[in-house]
Amino acid sequence: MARSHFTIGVIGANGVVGSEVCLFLRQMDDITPVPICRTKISSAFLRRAGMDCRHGSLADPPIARGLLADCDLVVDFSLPRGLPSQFRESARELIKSVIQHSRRSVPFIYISSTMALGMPSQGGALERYAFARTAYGTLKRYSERLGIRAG
Amino acid sequence: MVARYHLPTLHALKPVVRIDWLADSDYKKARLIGNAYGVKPLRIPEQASALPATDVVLVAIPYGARGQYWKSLRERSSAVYLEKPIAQTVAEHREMCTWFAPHRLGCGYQRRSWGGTLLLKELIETELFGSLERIRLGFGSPGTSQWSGYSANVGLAGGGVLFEFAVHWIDQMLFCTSATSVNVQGVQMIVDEGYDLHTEALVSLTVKNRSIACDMTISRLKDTSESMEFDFKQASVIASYLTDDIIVKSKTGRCFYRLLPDRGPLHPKTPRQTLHSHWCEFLGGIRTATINRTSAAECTLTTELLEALYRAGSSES
Repeated sequence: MARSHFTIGVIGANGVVGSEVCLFLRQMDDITPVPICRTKISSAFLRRAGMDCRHGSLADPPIARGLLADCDLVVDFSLPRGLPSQFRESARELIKSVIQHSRRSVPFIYISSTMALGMPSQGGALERYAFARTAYGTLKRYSERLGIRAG
Repeated sequence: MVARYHLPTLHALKPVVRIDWLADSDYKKARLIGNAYGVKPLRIPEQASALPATDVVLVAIPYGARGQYWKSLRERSSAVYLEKPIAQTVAEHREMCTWFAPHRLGCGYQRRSWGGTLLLKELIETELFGSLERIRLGFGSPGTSQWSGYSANVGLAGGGVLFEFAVHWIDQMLFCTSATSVNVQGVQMIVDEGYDLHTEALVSLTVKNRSIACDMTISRLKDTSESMEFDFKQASVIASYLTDDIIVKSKTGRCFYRLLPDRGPLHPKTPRQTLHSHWCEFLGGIRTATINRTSAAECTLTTELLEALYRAGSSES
């Protein structure tokens, strides 16, 4: 029987795109978006918009299990901070933790960016280019590969 | 800030500048960054006196973690470049300034050195578009990924959006208007978990002995203009944070022009160019023993406005 209601865990919900998506999903009757933020202060906007947010670090296994427990789908909008090597380490930890601590067979969606395609700064066809061109695009490509491999 | 901006900028100042060491409470992080830039990493000691001697120390640790280092910093012979924010109160700011010769305590309000700021300062001084009549400052939008690390700890950060983020733009506005005093006339502040998230204020600045009204909206809860708009008698001038351009708007609001200095393109334009210029100015001040726009003593008014906004905001809420 098809499911009638979905709970979607939104990682990185405090960012500009993540918070917009949470507010958009809230308008749908059969979806409950669950914003997941590291700290309470980062979820201030969503809490003030009346959303029930969950807080904690997904790098901590017991906390991660609690945060993701009832999610039917997990979407990752997060963008780790720091040097590229720190980004890679955080991205590896995060994706591994989400896959490990979500319920079995729960789909995981990594939200990348058109920047990962390596679009020229002056525009161009929307297609995958050989080089990512920017540090941001390179890191997004890296996370895409991690997500595909982990799945 | 250190890894992405200060280190590459200081490297670009070779051979005038040699980075001797970098210290962090997280030695792994210090080593990672140190290796990336070829700088000796150190674990930050209990006292700054335990750090090797240098001509200048860049203090980029969070506001709330600096207290224990001040005593040993003032006993060293090093000049100090202090990252923003500087102080929560004017008393604290002035006290810090007494610990160093005025040209030897610099402050990281580097937007003062941005080419656009210097151009705006000229416009206001020369009254190219007539006298300044009103200012609107908007900063912030809902949703942010900036509240991570120490910024998520109010004890370390020292404050919210105003103190931790918007302070650069507040300082830029006060600097380019050459305001001599500020008077907060009304504030609405929303505080959550000890952080100011939203501030709407009407502030009066004294510029050239005239009172100029400034409407400020600084928010992580709603969209703002993300710009500073100066209404002159004959036109408005907009400094956008998103495009880093200076735009002139006609009084009818129908004509827009990009303003450039006659000496060439707007420079410094990028954040790193701007920081480079700010560091050069600070080091130049040390060399000639003169205070300049980088001196902490020159930005007391910024602290005064922040203090007044928080005081008025807490009494309103």
